[in-house]
Formats: sequence, C-alpha cells, structure tokens
Amino acid sequence: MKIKKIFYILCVVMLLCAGSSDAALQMTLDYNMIDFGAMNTGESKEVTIKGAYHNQLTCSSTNNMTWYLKAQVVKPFSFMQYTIPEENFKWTVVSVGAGKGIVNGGVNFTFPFSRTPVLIYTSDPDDNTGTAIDIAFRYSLQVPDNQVAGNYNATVRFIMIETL
Amino acid sequence: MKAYMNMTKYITIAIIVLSAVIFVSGSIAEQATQDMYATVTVNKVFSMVLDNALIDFGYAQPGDTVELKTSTYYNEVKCQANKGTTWYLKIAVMGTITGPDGNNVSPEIFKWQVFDSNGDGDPVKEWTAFSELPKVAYTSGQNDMAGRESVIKFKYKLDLPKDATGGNYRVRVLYTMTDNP
Repeated sequence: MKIKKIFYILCVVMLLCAGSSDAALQMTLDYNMIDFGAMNTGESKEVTIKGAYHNQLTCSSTNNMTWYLKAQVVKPFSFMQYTIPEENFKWTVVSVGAGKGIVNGGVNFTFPFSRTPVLIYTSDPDDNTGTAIDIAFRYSLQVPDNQVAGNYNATVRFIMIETL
Repeated sequence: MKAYMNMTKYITIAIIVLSAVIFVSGSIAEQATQDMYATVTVNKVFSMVLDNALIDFGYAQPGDTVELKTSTYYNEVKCQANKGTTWYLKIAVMGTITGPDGNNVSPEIFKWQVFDSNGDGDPVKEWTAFSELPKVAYTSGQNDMAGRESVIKFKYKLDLPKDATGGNYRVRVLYTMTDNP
C-alpha cells in the first residue's frame, strides 16, 4: 500500500513539474495598434510613430533550437461586406537589435501581409540561448482607387514557432 | 518477494509515464503568438467634373435639326463616388432657351442622349427632351458606387421649329449628381 501511495505521489509530482515548467519561447509586443487615420482612395501611407519604426517585437528562446517568426492577417481590413486586399497592407523589418539570424528578404525589405503565415525572421544559434531579440517594424497601407468609404479594421498575428 | 515485485512494477510504470510526459511535451512544437490591431478610415468621395460647359449650336435656320458632332460625343461628365450607395446623374435646362431678339422657345426642342459610358450603370441612350425638371441620365452600378471613376459622354441636338426665328440660341444646362432618384 505504501509503495502504491509513493507511486501516485511521484506521478502527480512529475505531471505538476511538466506542467509548471516555464515557456522557453517568449514574445512580447510593445505596441499592438496601427492607426492609419483618415485616407483617401488611391492614397498610400506609412506609419512609424516611434521615429524610425512603429513597434517592436521582443523574442527570446532558451530551447537551443532554431525558431521562426511569422506573420499572418487573421482578419483583413474590413467594413461591412467590403475589404481592402491584404496585399495592400505591408510590413518592413527596420532592425533586429542583437539578433544574428536572417531577416526574410533582408532588413528594410517590404513584404505584403498574407492570410497564410509568412516568414519574417529565422533565428541564429546565438539567438537560442535566451538573448532578447528586438525586431522593429514599420507598416504601410495603400487604399485602392475603388474602395468604399468607411472605418476598416484588421487583425494581424505574429507567431514565434520552432517549425518552419 | 511480492513487495519487491510490486515495487519493480510501479517503478517501471513510473518510468513509462515520465517518458511519455517528456515525449509528448517535446513533440508538441512550442509557439508564442501576439495579435496586433490596425484601423483606417477611408474618406468619402462624391465629385463631378464637366469637361466642356459651352453648348453652342451656331446659327440655326427655322426647321433645322442641328446635332453637335454627329459621329461622336460633345462633352463628358466624370463622376466618382464611394459611399456604396446608388447615385444618379441628372440633367436639366436652367431657365428658357433664349434666341435672337430675346425670343424664347420651349426647352423641349433641345435634346440630349448618353453617347457612351465606362461604368457598369444604366445610361439613357435615347434622345430625350430637356426640361426644367432634372431628368436621370445615368444610374450608377455596383462598381460606380465603390469609388471607380465613371465617365458619361453626352450628345445634344436642337430641333428648331419652322415657326421659330433663325439665329443663335443659348441655354444653360444643369448637371446634378445626387443620391436621390
């Protein structure tokens, strides 16, 4: 009976340890809003509220495994039944701080958002030991010539993951 | 001996459980996500541009039918709206048609038609007599109301009655782009 009790306690402790271990992948966003304000049809605008960039993602990993940063539009700019094509909404990586990995397309290369996740950054082995990697972005939007007036909202998701 | 066997059994199970926990936690790809929200207000457009406001038939003899530019259009109106609702282009004369020596004639002798349009709306392509009451010349289509520039080309003609005085006739035309049918 005693052995049985010890076994159960051991199992519970193991499960608790497994469940309570700290997440090794961490990502924070310093500002999660982009307000392009009022725009005319056909107009393009870039937002960089912090001077050279708009906001910054801080990624860190202690897993000693390559990680990938991706972005996808989970809700395109929408107003009633009208949408602005996601390819009109673009991001640019401005800097990667202490990161030694690879920026897809290179720093200052502009990419259109997509409904499927698109690679932004691939970590270097030096990035996988707990170093905080600050990835700064700016964003741009072009309103099509033929776009119904209204207040449009979009949602973008950044994903830090260990599979490509 | 039995106690030893039991202990071995439980330790074996414990090792299997631990291995399973390690395997499952290792095989589930770790990921972290952050959502970001974006907004934009697309401004309203409701505009109209006329390329040629002067409609001059020149000298007309009584009984003449004078059609300006018989094989093509005379002037065009560019309309743009992105409110997502139907709009109408209307056309009317302002006041009477003034002829020589101040002779006035009925506006019905002055006619218009839509020669062509690039929109997906409904143009009036039949000769239509002017009146002081605005008449719909073009009703917008789906693309027209979503911000696309619609170009509506007009033709005009004057049917001067036999009992009218020959001479130069002037008229003021009012083009109106409106939400009201």
